[in-house]
Amino acid sequence: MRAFRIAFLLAVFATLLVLPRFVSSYKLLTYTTVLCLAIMAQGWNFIGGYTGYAAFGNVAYFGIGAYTTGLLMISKWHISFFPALAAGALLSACVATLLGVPILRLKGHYFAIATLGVAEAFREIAGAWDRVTEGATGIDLPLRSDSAFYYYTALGFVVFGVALTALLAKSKLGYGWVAIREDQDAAKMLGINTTMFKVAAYALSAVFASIAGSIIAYQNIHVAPNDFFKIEYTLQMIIACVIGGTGSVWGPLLGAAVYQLLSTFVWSHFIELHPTVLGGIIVFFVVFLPRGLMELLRRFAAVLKGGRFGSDVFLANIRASRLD
Amino acid sequence: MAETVTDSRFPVSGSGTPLFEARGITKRFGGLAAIDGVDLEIRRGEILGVIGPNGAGKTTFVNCITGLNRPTSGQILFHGEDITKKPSYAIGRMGIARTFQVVKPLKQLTVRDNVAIGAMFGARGRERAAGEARERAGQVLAMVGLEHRIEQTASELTVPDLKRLELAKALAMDPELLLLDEVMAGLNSTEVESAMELIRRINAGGVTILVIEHVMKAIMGISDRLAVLHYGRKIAEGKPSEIVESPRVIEAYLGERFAKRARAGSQLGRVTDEGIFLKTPIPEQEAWKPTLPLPGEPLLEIRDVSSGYGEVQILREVSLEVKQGEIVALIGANGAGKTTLLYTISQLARPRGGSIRFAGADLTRARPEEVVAAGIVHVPQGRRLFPGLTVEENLLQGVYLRRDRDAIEEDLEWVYGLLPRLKERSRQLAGRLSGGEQQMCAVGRGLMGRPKLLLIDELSLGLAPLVVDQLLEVISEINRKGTTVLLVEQDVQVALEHAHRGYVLETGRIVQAGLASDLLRDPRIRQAYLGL
Repeated sequence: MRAFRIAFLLAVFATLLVLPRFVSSYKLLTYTTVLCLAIMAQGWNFIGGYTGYAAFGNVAYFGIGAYTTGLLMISKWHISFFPALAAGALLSACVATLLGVPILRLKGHYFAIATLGVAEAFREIAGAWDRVTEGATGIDLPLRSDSAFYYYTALGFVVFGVALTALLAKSKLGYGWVAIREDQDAAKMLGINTTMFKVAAYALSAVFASIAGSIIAYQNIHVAPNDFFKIEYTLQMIIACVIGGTGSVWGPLLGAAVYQLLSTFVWSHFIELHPTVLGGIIVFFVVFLPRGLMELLRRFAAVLKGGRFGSDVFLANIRASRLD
Repeated sequence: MAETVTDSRFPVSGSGTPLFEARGITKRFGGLAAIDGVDLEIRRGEILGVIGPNGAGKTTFVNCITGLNRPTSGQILFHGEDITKKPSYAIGRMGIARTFQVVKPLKQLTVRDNVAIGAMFGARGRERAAGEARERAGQVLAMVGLEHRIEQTASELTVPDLKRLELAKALAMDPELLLLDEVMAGLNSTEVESAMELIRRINAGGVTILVIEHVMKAIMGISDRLAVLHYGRKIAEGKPSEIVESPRVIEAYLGERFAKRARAGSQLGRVTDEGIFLKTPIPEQEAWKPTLPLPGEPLLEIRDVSSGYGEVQILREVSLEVKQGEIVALIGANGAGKTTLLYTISQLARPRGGSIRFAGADLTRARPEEVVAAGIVHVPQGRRLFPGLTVEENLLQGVYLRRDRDAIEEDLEWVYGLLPRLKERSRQLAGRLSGGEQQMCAVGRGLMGRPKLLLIDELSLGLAPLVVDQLLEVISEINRKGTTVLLVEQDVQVALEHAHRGYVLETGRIVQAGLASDLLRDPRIRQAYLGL
């Protein structure tokens, strides 16, 4: 089973590695976008999945990453892409830490609303700060017509994200996050510095969103407030996480891929009803697979190993996520 | 655990230096002082019991010690160091661990991981790496008797197991001072015995313990000293044997009947001597205690009902009858299916066979709201109040199906008359009430529905003895006025003393039924449920 899993993952990875040779560079842009969605979802997974704080404003850091990268690259120092990306990530982490300390004190939907506000605030700043951001027009980045570059960069960060998530999930940090998600007072009494852990999760999620923002900005060679601070990005990263399975290592990646497949399929078959049908599918996932596809995979894997599917627990999980 | 346990240990702990000191702790919520200038010293190596009526501020006091509430004024010292303003996690790491009265399991994690987290961030700079912590969790779970559940998720555990898990999480931190907030509520006599034994063992291992408990037998049996809180003030402190003689404590907390029980407990070192309960004259209750079974028509008739959740079957062909005007007690060990039976009657769990008839109507396939409309009101275990609504709003939720406005006003006054504490707190959010007050509110909400049949699950859970007395009187009064009662109660003694008849449920089957007085005398029952 373990050998099979490793073989399967290697095959998938090899396919992803050679993919650019076989597809058009236009197609490759789409794939890069999916990988960036996976990066954002991986980041959201830390705060939303493991720590259980429904952050609805992570697009703020996506935008900060995009703007910082762009502005540094076109500045008089002509900083190259990777250092600019790193600077964006660092700035995002700092902003998330400063904002996280007060807003992570809020509970549940109050936190969600506060994060929505944060994202809106940054959009307004980017739109109004003409001298630096050129306002609503936005800024243009240097052109690099090498779509494989963006693709491999994104792929690299996805792999990094998976490795980091797997590592942290088994670390004290990961256990601490889950304890906070399950019961914050209990977590405190178990000796967990909840403020620090939450801020760490939030800052880490900001770093991932920021990296995705940098890559997309460079790929699109244009950054404008309304393209980069739009709530759709936040929703997509959350949906990808939910479809794949929150609080799991592979969930965000799987979810991003499935979300993209579904979206493409729906586009090509239900052009007029696209949002409705896609919305319906998402509702289906939330209602019947509240713990995502990873849960389903885990149960099938158990059956393959000769265990039971555990439909009682599966159904109990579904029921537990509903009011009635 | 002979008579000598308490007495021989007392001098030892008495000479201990203070490990912990609270000086003039006051905690106000708005205008209300939950704790009012409490001084308390815990000596190294002792077991200090804290008792007091529901709402006396016991849990708030523990919250203040552990930093979950900030005291409005006062000072808290641990090892002589001021910890008043330290954050909770730092206090935990210094070696103060606690359990929560309302259990706080990390639900989606396995039992092992729950405990491992305690070991991981554990106390006194002895944090462990994740792997070590999981090993340590195994040891602790074996100690509290949960090793057979180690790979289950916490959400699958029953209430007594969740209490054990609370204890295991705290123990995994290697605490120096352990604060136990009602870990024994909901355990039956036999389970209480083993919990007492466990606490003694932990204490013998060098852990100083503060224990809040309403189970008198336990608190009298294990405490070296007792402190009594009442309305946020400390009204007495001393040896258990002195405390039970204190008229103020009897008046404020114990009530006469329980004072006698408690005395028996502290003087003899154990309450298990045969005959102590029964020989003790209990005149107040004799006056109203029902003795004879009523002839009457069956009000509730359950025939061969099976039920369960998911793939798990819990009840197997249970038959039971409650006659008009009766109080029937349903007793049995934890996990026997008592709660499930009440759930099945209320249709919160669907019957899978058999029939349920109530007042001539067939309720076997009824919807939950139809059951309520028929006159069956269920006071569930664990209260299930609406925490964001006030006490009064919660009570008014009980009349959801009623349309008679004036009578509702009257009933509200009636309930306030029966449970005056609710009137004092009528504008407070139910979530802010103490555990015991919440239970009163739940019973009050049940009464507001003017039930023909009242189902009560664990009436005495977490209640001060005096309040249990009051509630039992309330129940006897409504029973005399014509309400029929089916009572599930962990305190088998109390249940059978107040019921006409009783049923014994074991692993989902009725194994015995009879007059309550006969059951109380039955040697098998005395051994299994009374620990006699």
